[in-house]
Order: sequence, then C-alpha cells, then structure tokens
Amino acid sequence: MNLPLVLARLGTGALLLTLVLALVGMALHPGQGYGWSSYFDAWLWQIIRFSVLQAALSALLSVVLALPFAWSLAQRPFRGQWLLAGFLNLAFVLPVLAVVLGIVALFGRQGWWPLQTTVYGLPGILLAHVALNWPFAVRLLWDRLNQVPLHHRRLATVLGLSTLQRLHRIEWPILKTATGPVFVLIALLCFSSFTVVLTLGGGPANTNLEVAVYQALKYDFDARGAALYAAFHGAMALGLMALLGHNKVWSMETVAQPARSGMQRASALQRVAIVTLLLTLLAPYLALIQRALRANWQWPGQLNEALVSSLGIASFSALVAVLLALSRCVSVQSARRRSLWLDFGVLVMPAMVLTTGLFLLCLRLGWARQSTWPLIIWINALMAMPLILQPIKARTAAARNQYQRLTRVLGLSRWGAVRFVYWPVLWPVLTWALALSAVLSLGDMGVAALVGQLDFVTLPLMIFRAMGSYQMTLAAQLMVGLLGLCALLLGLAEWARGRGHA
Amino acid sequence: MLDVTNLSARLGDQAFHWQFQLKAGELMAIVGASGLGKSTLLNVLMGLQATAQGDVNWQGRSVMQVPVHERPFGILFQSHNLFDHLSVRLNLALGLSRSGRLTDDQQHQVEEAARRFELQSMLDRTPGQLSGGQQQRAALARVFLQRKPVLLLDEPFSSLDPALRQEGLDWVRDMQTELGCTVLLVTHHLEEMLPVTDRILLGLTGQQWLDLSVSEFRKKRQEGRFESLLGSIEGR
Repeated sequence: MNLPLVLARLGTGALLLTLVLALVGMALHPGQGYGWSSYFDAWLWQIIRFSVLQAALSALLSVVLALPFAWSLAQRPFRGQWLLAGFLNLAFVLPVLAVVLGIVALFGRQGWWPLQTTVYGLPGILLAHVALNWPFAVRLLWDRLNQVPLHHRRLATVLGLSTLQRLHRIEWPILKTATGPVFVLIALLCFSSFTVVLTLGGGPANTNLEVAVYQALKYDFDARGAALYAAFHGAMALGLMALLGHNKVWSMETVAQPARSGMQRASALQRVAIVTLLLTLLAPYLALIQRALRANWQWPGQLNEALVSSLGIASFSALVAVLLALSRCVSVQSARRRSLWLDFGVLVMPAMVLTTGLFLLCLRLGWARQSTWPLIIWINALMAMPLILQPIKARTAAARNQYQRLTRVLGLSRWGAVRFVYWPVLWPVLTWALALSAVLSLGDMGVAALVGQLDFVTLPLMIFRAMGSYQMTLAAQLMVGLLGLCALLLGLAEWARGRGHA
Repeated sequence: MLDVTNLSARLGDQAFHWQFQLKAGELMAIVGASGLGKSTLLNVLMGLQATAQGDVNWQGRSVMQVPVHERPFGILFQSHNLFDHLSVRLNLALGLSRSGRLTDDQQHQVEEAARRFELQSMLDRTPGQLSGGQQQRAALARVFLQRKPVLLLDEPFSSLDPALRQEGLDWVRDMQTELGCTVLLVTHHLEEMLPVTDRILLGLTGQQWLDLSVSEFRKKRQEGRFESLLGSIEGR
C-alpha cells in the first residue's frame, strides 16, 4: 500500500467531504423559517450592499495606505527588517477582538481620541479592518518589491536614475501587477469579516452576510434564513476568488531575510516609515493595555473553564491543521492545480458558510451539543491549514528533491526516509505551524459563537460577553491575558523558525 | 566484467544508446560534451532512471531487475551526496546500516573509514561545517563502507580546484587498489585522468560512443582526431 498516497487521498477526501456536507446541511436545513419569497426583500439587498461596501472601502484604504510604506521599506535591505516583517505578520494572526477592543480604547467615548461620531458603525469597522489588513498589505507589497532583481537596482544606480525614475521604470510595473490581487484578497477577507462587524457594527444598519447568518441562527432561530444568507455569502466569495485567479499573493512565511552582515542601517525615509508603522500598529494594543491596567485584575469564575476550552480546542485544531497540511504535501500529486484550488478554496470559502452548513446538518441529526468541540476544532484547523501549508510544502519538496536519489541509493525504507530525511528537515517548520495554528484558533470567536451553546465558553467568547455587558475593563484584562498566551506561542514559533534557518 | 549491451534510454526528446565492456578492477573515464548523456548513463546503470531497452551484466548476472540499493554499484553525484542535517558519523553509518544503528564491529568500521579518509576530527560535525573537498571525501568514505564492487562517479570533484581535484582522484585510486573495485568516472578534465585511466568512453553523440583503451585514444589523438571535440569538452 502506498502510504503517502493514502494519506493524500484521506486529506483530499476530508476537505471534499466538508464542502459537500456543508452544502447538504444547508440544503437539508431543519426547516424552520419563513416562505422563501419573504427573504428576497430590501433587507437582503441592504446586507449584501453593506457587505460589499465595507469590504471594498476597507481594502481600498488598506492598499492605498500600504503603497508608500511598502515602497519606502523596499528601497534597500536594512538591518532588522526580518523583525519588522514578523511584526507585520502579527497583526494578521493575533485575535481580531484585540484590535476591536484597541479601536474602542482609542476612539471610543472614553478613549484616547474620541471620534466626533460614535466608533460603532462604518467608521469603527473601517478603522478595525485597516488596522488588521494594512500591515498585511504592506508586507505583501514589500515582499513583491523585494523581488526586484538586485542587478536592476544596480543598473539603475549606474545609470543615475532618480528616485522617481526608478519608481516609474522599475517599481511601479511590479506594484501595478501586485496591487490588484492584494486588493481582491483583502476585500475577500473583509467580506468574510465576522467579529469586527458583529462587535463594531452598532446595529442592524451595519450588518453583513456573516453577521446575518449568526443573527438568523442565534436570535431568530431561522435556519432557512441562515442557510440562504450563507449560500449567498459562499457564492459571492467564490466569485471574488475567481477574480483572484491563481495569483498566489500570500504566504505566512516572510520573504524578508534574517539580518545579514552586509545590510545597512535603514535610511531616513525608511526610519520614518518604520516608526510610523510601529506607532500606528501598536497604538490599539497600548490603549488596550492601558485600559486593562485601570482596575485591579479580576479572575471571574468562568475563566478556568474558558481557559480549558480555549487551550484544548487550540491544541487539537493545531494538531489537525498540521496533519491535514502534511497530507497535502506527502504526495507529489498534491501539486496539481485542482488540489491547490481545494487547499485555497477552503481558505476563501468563508468559515461561517462551512460552519453554518455543518452545524445545520448536526442540528438536523440532533447532534448540536455533541458536535460543539469537533466542529470548532475542525473548522479552526481548516482555516489555519492554508496559512501553514506553503512552508511545509516547500520544505517537503526541497527535501524530496535534494535527497530522493540518495535515499534510493542507500535503500532507506519509508520509515528510514521519515526518520533521517523528512523529520530532521521538517520538525522546525511543523513546530512553527503548530504554534501558529494554535494562535489562530485561540483567537477565534466566530465559529465558537455560532456553534457553541449558551453554557459553552472560550476566552474570546468570554471577552465578547464582557463587552456586551459593558465590562470593558474586564474585557481588556482578559484580552491582555489572551495576548500573553499568543505571545508565548508565537515566541515558540519564532524559535522553531530560527532552528529551521540554522 | 561489466557488460553493457545495447542499453538505451530517453530523456525528454533526447535518445541515448550505449554499448561497452569493462574488466573488473579497471577505471574508465567517460568524456563527452554536455548533454550527451554521461550522467544519464550512470543514473541508468544505478537504476535511478528508466531504461528503454538493453541489458547490464555484472560478472555474468543481469542487474536490471535488482533494486537500486542492492545493485553492485556505489555512486557519487556532483552534489547532495550527504544528508546536510545529519552528522558525518550518521551519514557514514547509513552506508552500513539502513537503520543507522551499528554493531560494535560496524562502529569500528566507521571509525576506521574516518581515519582512512582523515575525517576523525569531523565525525560529529554536520556536512555544512566541512569544506567542499572534505564533504566529497566523507561521501567517498561512505561509498567505501558500502564495499560495492563498482564505483560510479558523476564528476564528484568538478567543483573543486585542481589541487583538490587531484587529491580526490588519489583517494579514488587508493580505494580502487584496496578494494579492487571497478570505476566509471564522468569527467571534463581528461588530461588529469589520462595517467590513471585504463579505458575511455568518448561520446560523439548521445547514441554514438567510442570505447577506447588509453593507447588507442593517444594514437587517434596524435592523428588529429577529436581535436575540436576535446577542445569543447575541456573548455566547457
């Protein structure tokens, strides 16, 4: 039996089954709801319009603001750029609720700089989305600009091209091709935004499709409505994905290399860009910490239970995510395009759509309570998998290319190849992937909110409930604790990555 | 005797064909312009690349159905002969035991091979901590431990400077003398090989190879044959 092939097929089967079962779940929803025609009303168009509007505006602001920063950072390699790149990644992996709380602490009524209008509504949503995606856009565009061949830069210097001429002749053509896909990717992420819109939306006028699904299920007990909104959401997300095509614009592994001795100090322009970036990005977290420190630290009764749930779910989902990613790498056949579509299709297919479909199926089968943990673990693993897949795939392929002949010449068995070739090469990246997946799962609120029963609690859910009852200081304190856990795990991830580079 | 009969293979749209014999204990230099199939020949002999037709016999027995690692051949490639993340000691051990676990006697053999190839002080380092020449020497030590009767060398010293290349060649000759093994060596440095080689397999095209003794080769060269061909090989 060809074990790698069996593993690869199991992985593919599990992904396909998830998509199919989610569709079946939506089709066979428990049946509660109103007549079909009653859903196609002004409300549906309003939430579709708002979903698109907030996503487009968020993506536009993120990309436009990112362009000058990416350009200045790419002017020349500088010492410590890997640290900055890692920091830019952080904003993408840390719990979304942390940014939400930070935005409220900055721009809320009792914040550092209260807005003239309320922070709840479109302004708050845009601010949070930009805080989350702007650094991501900077990193993606910066990585793209780093791909300008060194000899092009050298030639530009020899020819005496001015900064503007260089921008026009060398950098702009690259930025032009990169900006579109980055815009679409961020729009896609914002289109599927749940936590930000739910917490900062401030009312029915600012509801997107994801929140509409949640409200239909949790407040209206309207399974049919939830299925319909989820179906709309899935279809529109797939449309956006088709726009993105096979432009592979993201990877959680930064292109920026660790400091090399030949690197120079950052230029004045770069230093301005770095300081501005850091201050802007750190501000919400600093405001959050300041708010947490306003009162004595509390340890609510439910906290132990929330910690156990969060850590348990994070551990299992990280393990499943890594196993799933490995199953996508072990066979050479997994490089096929359809397989890539499946991998990234899962990322693009909003988690809420998959969750809704699977949860409706469980409701139909009477397994709602028993399915809470497995569903959250599985969906969190699916969401993390595409983000950790590329580095694992790259290392596996490199090990295979470099050592396949030698492995055959020495007659190593499959187990021998795992022991002597793949495990020593892969363990740092697997540790990194485990830690990163765990961080992503720790920060998840959407899936847990949708699937969890009233008595189910995780750290983000507890924070959300504290916010709902206006206990903002308690929410901030819990969030600081959650961020501490994430920092520990990210430290582990960085250590593992360092071992991988060593 | 190594007997290669009507052996052919395809690589993309290129077709290759070889036929030659080599007595046990002899050293054959394989020379030819780039792309003629020198490395392909070694890969085909080793079983790393599929054969279209033909047969390879060693001491009267066909090796065509024999699994790669059980063939009577040891091979050194241009690069990637060692696992970069494993210690030199473990890399050598894998030449003796596929599990990497060694008996006392095998451990002694590893130590002995390390001493023989002047690697004693490097056994606990990883290949990345060795120079290029030391890395190839470690790979040669592993092949030595495998005690294969035929050694296939695919330009393993080509990236080294002339002095180190000569040193590598000396190691090969010593090993050949001690083990009595047969050697096929792909090279672009024919002049350096002439004093030590017994036969030359000279590629004219991918399908046309001349199997010559050194004296035959020298004679033909004096007649002015191969002048442009050899110029293109050495000047690669």
